[in-house]
Amino acid sequence: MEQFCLEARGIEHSYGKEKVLENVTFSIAAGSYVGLIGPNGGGKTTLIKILLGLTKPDAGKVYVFGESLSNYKKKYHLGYVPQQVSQLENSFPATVSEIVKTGRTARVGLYKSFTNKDKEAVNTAMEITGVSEYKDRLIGKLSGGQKQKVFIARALAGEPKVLFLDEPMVGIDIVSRESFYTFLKRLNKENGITIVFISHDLGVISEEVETILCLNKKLFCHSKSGEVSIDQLIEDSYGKKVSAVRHIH
Amino acid sequence: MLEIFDHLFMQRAFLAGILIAVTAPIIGIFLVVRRYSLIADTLAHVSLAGVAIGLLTKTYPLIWATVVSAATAVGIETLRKSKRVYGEASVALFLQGGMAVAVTLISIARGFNADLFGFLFGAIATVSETDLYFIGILALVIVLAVFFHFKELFAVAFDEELAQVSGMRVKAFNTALVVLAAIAITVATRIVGILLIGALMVIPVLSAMQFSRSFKQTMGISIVVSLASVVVGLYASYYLDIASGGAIVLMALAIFFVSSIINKSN
Repeated sequence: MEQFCLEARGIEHSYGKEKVLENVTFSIAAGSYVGLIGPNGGGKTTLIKILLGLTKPDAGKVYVFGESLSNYKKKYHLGYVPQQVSQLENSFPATVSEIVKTGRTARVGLYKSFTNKDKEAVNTAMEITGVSEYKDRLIGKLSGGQKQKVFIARALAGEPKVLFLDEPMVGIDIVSRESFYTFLKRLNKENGITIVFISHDLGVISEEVETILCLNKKLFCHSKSGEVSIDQLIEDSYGKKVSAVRHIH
Repeated sequence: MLEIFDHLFMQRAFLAGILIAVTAPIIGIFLVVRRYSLIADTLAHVSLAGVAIGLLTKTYPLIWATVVSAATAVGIETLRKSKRVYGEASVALFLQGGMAVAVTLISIARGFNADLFGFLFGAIATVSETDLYFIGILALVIVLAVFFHFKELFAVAFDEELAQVSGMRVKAFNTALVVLAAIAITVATRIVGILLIGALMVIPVLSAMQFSRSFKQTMGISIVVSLASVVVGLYASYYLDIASGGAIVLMALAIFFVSSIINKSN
């Protein structure tokens, strides 16, 4: 039987009178690479925040590895890279390695120090994201792309089983994007991390991910990327006839 | 230089000063990086209401100052979290409300103006043995709390949302931080004075940020800056017969300007 790492059942949410999510139900298999697409204001970020426990839905439930999210003790299994990290004005006086370590804090636990195993996990996270070379630099001195990698390293330091990335390409140059997609694919294939990735880059979504969730308040589609017409999906959810175009690098 | 230690009150003032110099920046750094700097000032102003209760009831004012500012800290955090009002508006609400209570109590009980001046601006001669014990216990609480929860306070300070996603009890740590700030303020009341405590929690951290290469280094440098400000400020207060709070904060400001110039020229 297929193991689901994440399930959303009947999620509903409103901001005031405006309904942003209507009866959203889906499940994500462990080890999959999922792209979440939809127009601005379609509820993508709200859905991610509900899946992460940051926002309480008006109705519905989230299950992580079969257990209700509110009862799930090992929340560090959910890694998160928020929106527009690269554009953050960050005067926080901390080095890259100090920040990456914060991703491990919950796993270490209260009144406990970082063990060698924890330090090793932090170092591994920095190595696979390529931030080791500037681990002693202040976060505020880094470029947008470098900051993005630091936040991913931070998320990986907790050895997550599911990694959420909310519009991770904003503020990243085109050359870095290509290698970033390759990196995400490697994380998914080699490290077995389930990836849920919100993007407006529809061309990339159509080519890179295995499973597509198309959301505009309601879930329009949840299927394997090769099995659906991305243009039809876009038309259904965005309400306009547009085409997904792969970026030329 | 050392003859001022012939006076018992100066020995007490220096001991209290050293405790303040260590505790103010180790809490202040978390407030500064979280853009909470004004909370220190608000809690300090509100603690005046506690001092007034103490003077009015002829009970130990610093206990009341601790209770009132800690309760206010919890109130600000609860209101901020509820998002019913903007974060800075909740701070302003308590600042004005606390001052209103303090002024009312002071006007009810006329006649403790001299005592009040010391609490407002700091007075080295007023540190009693009881104060020293009280300050020592509170300082120990702060140092132990930061020592044992440094990694959690740091993670929450860096990004509250990310800390929450990983399962950390963000609300508890936020409340703990503002309560620790309230305690640090009480620790500093006797020497620095209510009106200037906020500055000692913030300015040494800003000076340290000009040179720091890491968060821990920023904390270390800010303690050194704070210690230098307190020691020089206390000497100045004794020899020039000026309010200790003013002298300490002016020294901290001088260090900040020099460090800013050095940083700019580098």
